[in-house]
Amino acid sequence: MDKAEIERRARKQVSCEEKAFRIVERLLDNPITEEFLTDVAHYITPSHYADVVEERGIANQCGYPLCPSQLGSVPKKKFHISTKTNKVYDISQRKNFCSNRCYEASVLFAKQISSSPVWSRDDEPRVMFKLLPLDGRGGLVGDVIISPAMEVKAEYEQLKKLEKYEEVLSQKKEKLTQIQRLDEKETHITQNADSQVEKPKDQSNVEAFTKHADETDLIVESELLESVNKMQLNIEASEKIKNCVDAKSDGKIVKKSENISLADNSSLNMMTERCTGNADTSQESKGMTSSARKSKVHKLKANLSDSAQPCGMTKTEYLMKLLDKKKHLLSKMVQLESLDVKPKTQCAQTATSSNLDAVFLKPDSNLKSNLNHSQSGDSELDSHTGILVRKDGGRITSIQLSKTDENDKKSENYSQAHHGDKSKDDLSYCYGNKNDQNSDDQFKEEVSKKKSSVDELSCKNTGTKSPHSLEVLTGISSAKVIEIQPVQKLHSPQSSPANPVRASPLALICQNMFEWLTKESIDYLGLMGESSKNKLPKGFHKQYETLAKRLDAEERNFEDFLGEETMEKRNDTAAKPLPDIRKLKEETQAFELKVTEFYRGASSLTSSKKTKQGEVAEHEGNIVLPTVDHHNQMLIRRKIVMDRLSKVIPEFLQPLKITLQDVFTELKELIGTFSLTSKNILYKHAEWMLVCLILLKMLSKKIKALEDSFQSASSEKYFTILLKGIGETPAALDHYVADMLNHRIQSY
Amino acid sequence: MDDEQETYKLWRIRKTIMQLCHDRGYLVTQDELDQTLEEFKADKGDKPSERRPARSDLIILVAHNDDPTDQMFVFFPEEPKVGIKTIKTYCQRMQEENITKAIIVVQVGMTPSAKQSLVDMAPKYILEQFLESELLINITEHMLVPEHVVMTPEEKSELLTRYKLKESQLPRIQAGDPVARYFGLKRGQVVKIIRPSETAGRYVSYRLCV
Repeated sequence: MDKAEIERRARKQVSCEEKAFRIVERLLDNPITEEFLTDVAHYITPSHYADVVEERGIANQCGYPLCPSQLGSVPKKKFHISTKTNKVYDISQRKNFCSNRCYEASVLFAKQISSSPVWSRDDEPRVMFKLLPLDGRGGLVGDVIISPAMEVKAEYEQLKKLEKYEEVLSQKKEKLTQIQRLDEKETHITQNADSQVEKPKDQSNVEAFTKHADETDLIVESELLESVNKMQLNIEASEKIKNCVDAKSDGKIVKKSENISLADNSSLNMMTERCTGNADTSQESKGMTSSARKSKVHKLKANLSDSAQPCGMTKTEYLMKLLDKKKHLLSKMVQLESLDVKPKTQCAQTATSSNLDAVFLKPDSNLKSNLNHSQSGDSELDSHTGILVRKDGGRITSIQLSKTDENDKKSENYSQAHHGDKSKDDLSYCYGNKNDQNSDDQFKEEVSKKKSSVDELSCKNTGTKSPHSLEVLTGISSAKVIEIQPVQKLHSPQSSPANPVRASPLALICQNMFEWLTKESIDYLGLMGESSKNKLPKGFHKQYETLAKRLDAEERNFEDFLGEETMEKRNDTAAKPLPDIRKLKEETQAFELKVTEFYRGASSLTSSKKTKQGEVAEHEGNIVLPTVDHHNQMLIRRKIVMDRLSKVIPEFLQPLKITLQDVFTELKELIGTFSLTSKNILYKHAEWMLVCLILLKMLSKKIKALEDSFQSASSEKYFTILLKGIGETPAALDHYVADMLNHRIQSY
Repeated sequence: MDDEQETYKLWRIRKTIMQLCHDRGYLVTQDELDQTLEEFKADKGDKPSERRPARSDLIILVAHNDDPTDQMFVFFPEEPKVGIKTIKTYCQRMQEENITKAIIVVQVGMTPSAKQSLVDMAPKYILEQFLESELLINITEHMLVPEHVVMTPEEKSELLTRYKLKESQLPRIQAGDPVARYFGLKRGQVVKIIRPSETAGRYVSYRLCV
């Protein structure tokens, strides 16, 4: 490229710029035709045009070259707030124009001007400019700075996010219900398989309880009404037991709790079956119930195979019928419920849940323990079948008792159930065998009678069960006498075996840590149950506590009678109440959702979702407190505790097969609820390990996965070895933790 | 902005302009240089909002000491932003009065095309623009600004021969440099900068305007 070429180019550039400048100058003078404007627009850039607009504005002419009008009074303000459109406009550009229309036309024109350098436009095709006719109406007020649309958009996006979140929630719920349905099917199938050996009544019960907890609630409630007269005796009995129950917790509620306890018995049967997983095991267990607790599995199998084949088809058909009927009943119940006054259902729900709480609050209560056992899926088949066997026995005897001695009935029931729970131990096996001899005969009788009264029974539930069985079991009161005796014997030795162990380091640490525990930590662990959420009257709660205590004491006596071997079991019972409540709650909610969705449409669905969300938010809000002060003593202490714990916790993570992330948040939150003082956080390294272990144990009540990992064989081995060093056992640890928590719970 | 402030501002601008003209070698009386705020108010008025004084009242015409025909206008446009139109009117007035130099003191700024038009007229009519805010103080009076002396063409040639230099071998100063603008330096002019020096008493350097 020679010099001349460069010069030529430079000159061309300059001339082009010059031309553009001339055009700008020319455009300042009116009048300008459209042809001229579109013609020269090819030789200028948008910045040139902006210059034109500005120059014209300065010269008090309308900024749009085609508009010959003069600018009137130009407002001094920079922004225009339109109350009509709820928008704020930047009018600094608009000031150069006589009207909104001119402004719009100018903006439109400016957009069409090419922004490439003016000297490079020889090859560019000419743009056909579109001009906005000035005689039209409308126009732009200015550049929108703030408009409600923007806010709306932001809001909309937020809502979208929320919606997604809710969707995820609902999907989870759906999954849950699906799983439940699957479970239902499974149990149904297993029942079909061994229906011939199962008592029809039990089946109906079991089926009823395979449905959602909510359904059971409904049934219980409705059947309560049906069987009020039948349940008179029961009411009396329960009222005697809970003589302190005031007007608020009327007979109905009491009845319900009674019902639930009964219902739980049967549902427990079902649950254990479900947990054993495959059809074989459940068949076995069923076989055991049917072949009247001989507790020898191989024999039972033979029996089962004998009795299983002949009447399989008819029974399955019958079962299907039963199921249909149940469903029909259920739908009726639902309708009834929805028609009913809302407060009533709410009250009923709270009542039932509180009853559940009452049952579950007693950490050592046998029902709970049974539930736990059945839930902890991987426990051996033997124990389950054992439980089943004892369970049935316990129920029968309890019914007997209700006939003969109402006052003793409940405690007896519990102790019986507990006895079933203890069936792992040989001792209790012997005891159970005693039971067997009596109940064997009863059972046969019962079965035959029940078969005859199938149709009646099919629509009835737990409530009606007892009267029937009462009829059946009128003659047999001897069993009761046998059962009551051990219980009475138990009263004398008062929890003496626990005392000598108290002096161990573990106990000392537990004592220290007892000071840590606050109401919040109990709440956090969920051991208070949902009662606080339901906002029951305080007195009501207290009464349940006293009841729980009483049952507790009775059970302890019984345990002492059984000896120290039972200790482990008792601890276990305390260790697993929470997930069950949660599960029941979830099931309840899931079903509520389903029902409301079906009968009322989506609006109530979302509302229930919202309440759930709110609950969650509330729950979280309670735990995570904002840091107020860097020098807050409590914060520093928590930091110290966390620091120490983080040093020792890795040692436990490996045997438990969990990661730090699994427990860290919960651990931190739990410690956040503790009331730490300067004195009770001083431990040595080894002691910190124990502290950590205790905390993990506590957390295992909240975190299901942790609990499971505690029960795995490897971790059990590890902790046994670990605790051997200080002369303790995992069972003792469980005991301490449960004891500590129970004391704290009771103190609130 | 209230009148008091506006008046004070105008007075400061006028004072700096007078000093500027004086430093450039134009004839400014000592009275004009020493004019106090009170005198300014008495002379021009103290209500700028009521056009007393209006910007047009402040227009100054000064003649050079050596060549009385070399005159310079100082314009104070009324409008905040100066467009081509205003420049054109000033040009016409300069043509009428046969004056080639002018300073435009603008309030807010100039449009790009107005600046372009200044460049366009450059060789024949020399228009310089200052912002009002630039003239509130005289930068050459600042302690960190050394003394600048604009050299005449004769002095410049003497300097180049004395040191056997070519123009390009001198240190440079930009025409847009605030001090260069103050003195109205054009391309090719040389400015002598005299700095105080601890060792030598004063240190003199020369800069060529580019």
